[in-house]
Amino acid sequence: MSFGQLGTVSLVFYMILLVVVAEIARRARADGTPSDHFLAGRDLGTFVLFLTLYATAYSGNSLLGYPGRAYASGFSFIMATGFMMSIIVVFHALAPKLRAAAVSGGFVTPGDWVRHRFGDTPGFAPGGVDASKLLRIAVGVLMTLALANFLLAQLRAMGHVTAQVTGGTVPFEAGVIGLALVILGYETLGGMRAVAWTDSAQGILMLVGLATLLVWILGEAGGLESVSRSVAEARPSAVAIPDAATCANWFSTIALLGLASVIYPQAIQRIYAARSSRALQQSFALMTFMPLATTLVVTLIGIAAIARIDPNAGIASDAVMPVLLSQWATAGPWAMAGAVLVFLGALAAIMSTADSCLLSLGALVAHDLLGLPRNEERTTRVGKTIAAILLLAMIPLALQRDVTLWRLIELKMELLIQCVPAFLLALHWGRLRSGPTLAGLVVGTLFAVGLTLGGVPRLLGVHVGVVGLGLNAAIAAIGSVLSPSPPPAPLSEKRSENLSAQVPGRRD
Amino acid sequence: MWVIGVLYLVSVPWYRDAGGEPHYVFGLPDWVAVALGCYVGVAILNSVAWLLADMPDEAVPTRGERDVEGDA
Repeated sequence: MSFGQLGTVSLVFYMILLVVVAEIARRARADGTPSDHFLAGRDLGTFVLFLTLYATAYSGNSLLGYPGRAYASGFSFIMATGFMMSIIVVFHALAPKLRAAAVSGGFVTPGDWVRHRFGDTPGFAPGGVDASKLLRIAVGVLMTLALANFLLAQLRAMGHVTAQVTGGTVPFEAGVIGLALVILGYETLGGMRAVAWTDSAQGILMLVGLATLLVWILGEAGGLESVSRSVAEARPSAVAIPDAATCANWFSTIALLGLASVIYPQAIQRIYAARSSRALQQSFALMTFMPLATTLVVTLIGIAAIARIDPNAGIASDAVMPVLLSQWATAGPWAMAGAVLVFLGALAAIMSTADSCLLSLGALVAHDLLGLPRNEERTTRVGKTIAAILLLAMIPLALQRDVTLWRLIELKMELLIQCVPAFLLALHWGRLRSGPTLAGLVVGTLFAVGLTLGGVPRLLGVHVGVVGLGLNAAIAAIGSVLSPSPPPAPLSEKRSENLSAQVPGRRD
Repeated sequence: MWVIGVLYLVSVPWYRDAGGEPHYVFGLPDWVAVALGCYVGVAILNSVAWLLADMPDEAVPTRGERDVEGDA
């Protein structure tokens, strides 16, 4: 059996497995409310929660883009392990307070937090405009754009991997369209349950696939030291101590990814969907080790490729992993099966991220942007319809081949990080006001997007999104300090205020 | 948490001379081994911090779903 035939058969079995899981999830649903569809009835236990967090956080970019980056950068891409771990560190500042508020308020989307924290009354904005409502919409728009951007990258990656794993039997275009429809099918049928359960299978597949590939590469090269020395011989700059600009970029990327990734809408919704705080804590305690099991592994794979792939061969960064797997597949039947397993693991990573983005997109647009109520079945129906329309609209865009995965993910982060003050600052600082937060978000976004589109992605090695966040937070903080203080609450309200004071700045 | 911050600070080799040829530790360039050691430390400390975190599950008492910000 050839590589393409084995890959095609495996792909078909994998698709059947996903459909079966979706049908089981559909039968397990309690009702059609947004809470049941978008949050699995808030009943995800530690094991499933951990695996869905894992599979969602590690995307096609992690498995296909990062080895390419490591191949291009050398050992300095070890930074990726640090920035993926920083996400779970930064969650300390978000998850405990946000979950308490979410349990209290029955949140379904990130916008529910903004509404809860800033209320619906006119805030500090020119002309008496409802600043809190505008802030909620602005956060919703940025998150929608970031999610759409991320989903687009996953669709493109699905097409590439499908073509590779089937040896071209299923072409790129058919891969994009076919797998998009499979995702739409199981997400529509089973909602978050189907997404989380398929994520669990996909997470396990990813781990097994990567471990297998690493063992092969290290085994064939003669161990880690042998890899390092052959890399040093092939490209001395790959092992050299990095310069100041690279170090600045290292710190900046840790800040960019750590801060922006915690407010992924799909991550926030998993905080809401946990069965208990204990389940969430245990999931995060496990998640903190996953960069060592995943990001470090793909980084080492990319670095090992420096000595294996001729730099003059003109290999694009996204193609490094597929080229390695193609080499591996020729080493014998077991190696071929292993290569197929890694390809399926990559496909699993991509699909698990895409399905989570799609689910969050439907909820965000239906509830946060269109304002549909969070406790009616109509919102679920509209959310499903919107998700389907957005996915179908993105397919033609995904078929364009002129942007790399890495540029797409950087643009997403530049947008998403501008929402940080509305979450992290708002959770910890009671004086933060909606008007200045909105002003900061607009200025930070215009700054970051303007410079990125103008061809300036970094200033002195620091991402423009991080610089924009600095401006954004300064405007929000200074504007809030200069805003008039809220009127004192009547004495009769003091007691209840104390009871609800876990979230600063709120007043019933 | 401050220990995690220090580990992150040490993980980036800003204090080393750029371009220098590294020694090898556990099969890795020494500055990479330091970074990796720091990240292993962060993982252990962060995992313990999550397990020990005070994260109550009870709902925060509120008197209504619609809350009002303190803007004047």
